[in-house]
Formats: sequence, structure tokens, C-alpha cells
Amino acid sequence: MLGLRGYLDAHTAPRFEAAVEEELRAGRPRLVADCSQLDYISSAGLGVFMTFIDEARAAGGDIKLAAIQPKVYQIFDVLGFPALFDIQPTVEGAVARFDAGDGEG
Amino acid sequence: MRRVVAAACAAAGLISLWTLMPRHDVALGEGQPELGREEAIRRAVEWAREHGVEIAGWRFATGAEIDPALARIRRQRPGSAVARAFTPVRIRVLAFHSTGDAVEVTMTATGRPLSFLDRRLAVSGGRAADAAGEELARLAGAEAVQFQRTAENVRTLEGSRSAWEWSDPVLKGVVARVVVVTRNGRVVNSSYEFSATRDAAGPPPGTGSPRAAWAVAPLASLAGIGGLLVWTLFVTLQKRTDPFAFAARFMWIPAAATAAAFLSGNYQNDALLRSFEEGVTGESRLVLGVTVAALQLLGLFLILAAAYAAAPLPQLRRWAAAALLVRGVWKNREAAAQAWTGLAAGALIGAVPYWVAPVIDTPRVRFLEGTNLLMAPVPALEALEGLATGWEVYLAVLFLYPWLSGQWKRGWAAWLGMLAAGTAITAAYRGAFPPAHPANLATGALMTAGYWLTYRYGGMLAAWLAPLGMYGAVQGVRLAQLPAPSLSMAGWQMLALVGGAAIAALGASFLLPEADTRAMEAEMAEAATALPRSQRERLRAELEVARRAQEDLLPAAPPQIEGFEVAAACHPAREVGGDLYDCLPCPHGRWLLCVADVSGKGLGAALHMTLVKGMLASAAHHAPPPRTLAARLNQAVGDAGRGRMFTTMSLLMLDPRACRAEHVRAGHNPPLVWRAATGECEWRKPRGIGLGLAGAATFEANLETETIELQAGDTLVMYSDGVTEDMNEEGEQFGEERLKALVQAHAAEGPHRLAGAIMEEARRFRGQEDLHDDWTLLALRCSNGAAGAQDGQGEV
Repeated sequence: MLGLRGYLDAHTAPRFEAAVEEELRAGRPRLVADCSQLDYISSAGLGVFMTFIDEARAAGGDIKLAAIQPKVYQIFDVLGFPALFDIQPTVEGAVARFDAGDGEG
Repeated sequence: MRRVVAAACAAAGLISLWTLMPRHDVALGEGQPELGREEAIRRAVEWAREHGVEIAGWRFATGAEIDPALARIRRQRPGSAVARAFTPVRIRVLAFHSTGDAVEVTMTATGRPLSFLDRRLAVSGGRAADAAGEELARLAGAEAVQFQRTAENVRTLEGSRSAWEWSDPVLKGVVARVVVVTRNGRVVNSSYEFSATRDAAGPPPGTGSPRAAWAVAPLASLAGIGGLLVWTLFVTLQKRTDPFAFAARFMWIPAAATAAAFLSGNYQNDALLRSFEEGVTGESRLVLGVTVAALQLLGLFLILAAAYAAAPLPQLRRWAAAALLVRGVWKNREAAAQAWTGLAAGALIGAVPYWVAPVIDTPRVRFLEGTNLLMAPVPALEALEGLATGWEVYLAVLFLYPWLSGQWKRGWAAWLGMLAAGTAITAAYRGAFPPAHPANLATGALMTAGYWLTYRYGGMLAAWLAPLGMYGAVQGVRLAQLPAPSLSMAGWQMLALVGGAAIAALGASFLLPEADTRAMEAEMAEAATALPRSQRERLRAELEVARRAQEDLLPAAPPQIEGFEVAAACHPAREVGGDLYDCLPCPHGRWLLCVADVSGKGLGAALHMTLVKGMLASAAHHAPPPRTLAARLNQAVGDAGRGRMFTTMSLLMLDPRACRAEHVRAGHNPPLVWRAATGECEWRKPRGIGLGLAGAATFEANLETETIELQAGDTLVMYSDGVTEDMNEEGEQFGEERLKALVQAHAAEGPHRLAGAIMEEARRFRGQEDLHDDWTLLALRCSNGAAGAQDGQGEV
């Protein structure tokens, strides 16, 4: 479970990136990003997701996005992310998806 | 617009010169010669003949002088009989013979002889018994009876000297004197002079102020600027070789001017007159004059070279047309426009002292040393001298200002520095009023400001040529207003010469093709990056080069699509950006329209943008369906970006005749369509993922193509997220709703007005904040509807 809070842009993206990398290295490829506190995401932030999604899926896991705020969801939606990522309205829902054995979006 | 302003300046300058000069100019006000050069020489020959010397066929030099004391007295005490016997202007004719003989004759403005000086080596015997008395009669004419003899046949080295005096009955201290020296009964030296004591004449105006202070300022600024020049030369010219080439090629202009001055005879005329006074032979004076001129040119050359080398990047734009010209690009519309601007502005700048005079009152304007001009052999060519002697322009405007604006970030500081130095230099060099008169400072400041404005809005060429315009206007008008026919003819010739050149430049500025000044600027900017500057400055210079390169990649103007009006705007957030818009013509009359946004900002994004643009351009040749094109681009962007970069794009393949467009939206902000029929807006949001995010299969499975049908008046707006995510000081975003409201409000006015309104509102919204992201907008309106739309086809 990774909680994102505030602005995910070029300044803060490296921290997020480091956190994801750590999880993957530790052999925990099943990640849920809790976006309920996320106010804004820039292309740098989006890039972090793009960087690790293949690795996570190859390791049998996934990065699921949960509880995205409407304004931020709009950014994802325009870009077409829903076709690439599994986006769930609640964190519990996202976790449940893992348990249901769904590894792909 | 610039041309019109310049024309207005020229008109204002010439009109004010024509009306103000007679009242305020020294030469015109205090008396002007009523004889031209030829006429004066003829009278001198006659007069010499009466003295037994034949000087016809000798070499002549002529000049004119004004006696300020006499002029003052004539003005203040018109009743003085003595003063009325003379004119303030005195014409001087010198005759030289190859054997070394010389004869000088002076006469009044009307040609009445005043003095005779015979400097021949051998004087043969004369005839008259009372040669001196006869001479008195000849000189004084009717007034001879007023004279009292004060010396009779006194032995001197020269000969036998007699003198008479006529004291003014009313004014004390004002006298006329006749002195005659004879040798062997022949007159060798005679003169009829006016003399006034200081008390009688009164002190000349404007000498009460402390001279020292006025003299120090110009000297100090000249010394300062000289020091700057030397420093600049040694520090910045080492690595850069092209400024010398630039200056060297440019030197032909003042070189030609100096040559013309020589050829016109002005130089010889002056040289002969001065050499006679100093007692040296005429020829060596000439050699000295040539040397001085050569040194002047060298100095000019160095100033130009240093100015060009030290000019900061924003100033180079003003030098681009000149740089092109010296490289031989003669078909240069910008250079012609600058030439017109400079010549016309010069006319206005020349009128400045004549505006100052009525305000300050009293002293008359002695500008551009007009009196000797009156007697020059070919006055019309003297205007060219302005090119070689515009020192205040070279030093202050062309060198100091660009140099200062590179050193000091605040624009006004550089301007002030230039103004101060320029005022000091101009006041000293062109002192139109008596020395140390404060009006000189006012004149200096106004003229410097005028030259600076000419440089700023005209360019370097304009500033260079302004002194030529000034000379032409001032001297031309002065001569044209003189009564002597030969002189006024010379005046008109000068006006025609300079005016003709100006009008030729104006014509050329319409007829000549545009030269690529932008490429020149880019070249100069590149050369600037080779200079040893600080890291930061070099990076900035390189970014500037990159910015120009990227600007060149964007379409120069909105495309001409039949039946459509198109408006576009693209502003990068930094020097270079990742936004792209393009309108590419495709086979079968179709057009590929695209707005794209590369993730990120700055150089990285700009480089990726170039790749995308390249692919688009090559794809346009085959006009593949937008879907295929998007898929290909997705592949390319994915490969190049390796997952770290993606690009959003809205692609439109427009069929103008059918008013129909195929639209794919690869993750980009959905375009807005405004319907003229209903006045409503609709967002067009077909499904699609950004380029470079997904593999081919996923990308194509999620890409939807839609068809947009446009009716007459419908407007399509494509934009990048820089528009909607634009933030103001409170952190608020511009937003889609605001954009939609603007489109609804202004779409009916046409795409240009619409784009303007959106830009305006965005600027207002942003306030003091900088652009957050690259800002791109493309608006197009269907003017007429589909061919065959009368049948009622084409409804979405």
C-alpha cells in the first residue's frame, strides 16, 4: 500500500519512484496506490507509473490505483489511463481485486 | 508604420528648419553673403587688377566669417553710422600662384572691397603719387571725408604705412580704421576695418558661467568611453574575428564620404585658408588633413568593431540588417527601410537647436559651422561629411548603449548612461550655442535622445545615417534660403542629393525582397556563444539559439485552407518547449492538423517534439488515415522515450471541400466544437491513450476514430493543457469551463478574434505569474460550408 499525498510532480516524483522501487526489490509486486489525498499529478508523476508497471506485472503483481479524486481522475481519463491501469473507486476494492486473482487491468 | 513615422519626422524637421532658421541662425540672421563663390572671385580679380596684380587663373580659396561684435552692435544700436558701413559677414578670397605668390582680398557681403593684401615676393613700381590717399577713397567711398589721418608714410618692414580713423560720433569706442601700406608707390596691403572696444560692444552673451565645468564633462566622458573601448577591445575581441571583418566592410561608407569631401574641393578650400593664416604652405596642410581623416576612420572602425563584438544578444537584432548588407546581401528590404528611417529622422534631429533657441532666447544658433560652407567649392557634397563625423552617434549610441545594456540588467540604467555621455559629447562637439551656454546641454540631450530612438526603432543603419540626414537638411535649408542665386542653387542641390537618397531608400524598402534577417540574427547569436563568457551566459546564449531554431520549426503563418479561416498561437513556457502544432497539406486537397504536447518542459521535451514533428511531416506525404498515423507515432514515441516520455496528440485530417474531419485523440485535451446554428459548444472526446504509454495492441484497441461534420460558421478549437492548466497567483486553474465560456462568447467573431480574446483573458487571469506550461491554441472556422451543402447534407 502506497499513500500519495498532495502534489506528485517533478519535485516529488523521485520519492515516489524510490518507494515503488523498494517494494519491487523486496519482492512485493502487488501495489495499491491510495490516491485519496492526491491533489495533482504531472507528467513526471505519470512517468513513474509507466516506468514500473511492466516490471510489476512481469513479477506477477500490479500497480492498482484507488480512490482517485475527480479532478485528478479527469487527467488520467483524458490520457486514456483507464485502459492501461486498473483504477478502483476504493482502496478496499483495489485490494479485493488482488485477492480475486486479477493481475491485469 | 515606421516608414510613416519617419516621413512625419522628416516633414516636421524640414518645415521647422525652413521657418525657424531665418530668425535664429547666425549665418542667416546676422547677415549672409549676397555673392556666390564665383562672383566673389570675379570681384576679387577686379579689385586686384586695380592694384596692378593680375590673379585671374590663379588657384582660389574662399571663406566667410562673421564678426560677432559687429553683429551685436548693429542689432543693439542701429543708429551707429560706422557700424552701418560694414556687414557682419565678410567674404575672403585667397589667390595662390604656383610660384608661391599669394593675394588676399576681403569684401563685404555685397561685394564691396574691404582689404587687399599683396604677398608677392616682388612688387614692381607703381604709378600714383598719393597711392595711399587714393586707396582710402576707393575703400571708404563716400565716408572718406569722415576719416581723420592718424599716421602718414611711416616706414615699416612692409613698406610705407598710412592710417586713418573714423570715430563714431554717437558711440564711444566704436571706430572704423583704414590702413594702407605702399611699396614703391604701389599698394601692397590695405584694409578697412571695424573695431569696437569691449565696453562699447558689451560682453558676448553666455560667457558668465564657469567655463571649467563645461569643459571637463565632455572630456571626462570621452576619456571614459575611450577607456571602455580599449578594455572591450582587449577582452572580447580576442576570440571573435568577425567584428573586424564587419567593421572593415562597413568602412566603405565613411571612406566614400571623406573621399567625396576631398573631391568636392571643400578640404582643399579649408586647408588653403588655414595654411595662409598660419604661414605654412598649402600642400603640407593638405597632407596633414588626409592623415587626420585616416585616423578618424581608424577610430570609427575600432568603435564599430568593439560595439559589434560587445553587443548583447537582444541588441544584435538591430545590427542584423547592417550585418547582412556588409556581407553583400544588397537585396535587403530591412536595410533600405533603416536607411530611410535614419535619413528622415536626421532631418528632425537637425531642427532641435532651432527649437531650443526660441525658448531660451537671445543667442543665435551656430550649427554645423555654416559660414565656411557658404563659400565652399561644391557645397552640395558637404552633406556626406556627416557620415564621417557623426561622433556623438558612434560613441554614445552605437557603442556605449549596447555595451551598457549588456552590463546592466535594468534597461533604463543603460539608457541613462548613454544619455548622460551623449549629452556631454554632443554639447561639446556640436555646441550650437556659445560655449558654456546651458542651451548646449538641452540641445545635446534632445539630440542624443533622438539618435537613440532612431537606433532603437530603426536599427544600427538608421542611427549611422542620421547624421547624413541632419547635414543634408540643415545645410540644404540654410543655403536654399540665401539670396545669392548660386548659393541657393547649391542648397537645393544638397536637399535633392540627400532627399533623393532617402526617397530611393524608401522606394527600395518596398521593392526589394526581404532578406533573411532572422537567419542572420541566429548566426550572430551563434557566434556570440563562442565568446568566453560565464557558464550561465553561455547556456543562455545556447538556449537562445535553440529557441530560434524551434521557432523556425513552427509554421510561420496560419495555413490558407480554402473555405476555412485559421488562427494559431504557441507560447513556450521556457525558452524552448514541448508543444507542437502543425498544419500540413496532404494529397487530394486535404489538410493534416495536429496539436501535440510532449511530456515535460525545456530542452528534453523540445528534442522529442522535433522527432514527432519530423514523423508528421513525412507522414503527410502519404496522407495515411489518422488512426494508422497515430499507431506509427505511438511506436516511434515509445521507442524513443523508453517509457519515460509520452506525448499527447490530437490529430485531424480535414477535407475542406466536404467540411469534414477525421479525428483521433491520443490522450490529448478534447477539442471543442462551437456550432453556429445553436451557439452551443461540444467537447469531442473519442477514446484514446497517449502516445508512448502502451504497446501497439493496447493502443490500437483503445483508439477510436470519429468524424466531425462542420457547417458554415462552425468553429473548431484545439489546444494544449497549458491553456486550461494555466495558474494564477492564487493557484487557481484557468479550466475547461472558462475556455468554453470564452469560445461561446467570441466564436462568432471569427477565429482570429477568438484566439485574441482567449490569449487576452489568459494573460489577465495569469496576472504576474509566469506561464506554467507551454500554451498552444489552434482555432479554425468553416466559412462557407461543404460544397453541395445547399442540398441539406452533412448533419452530425
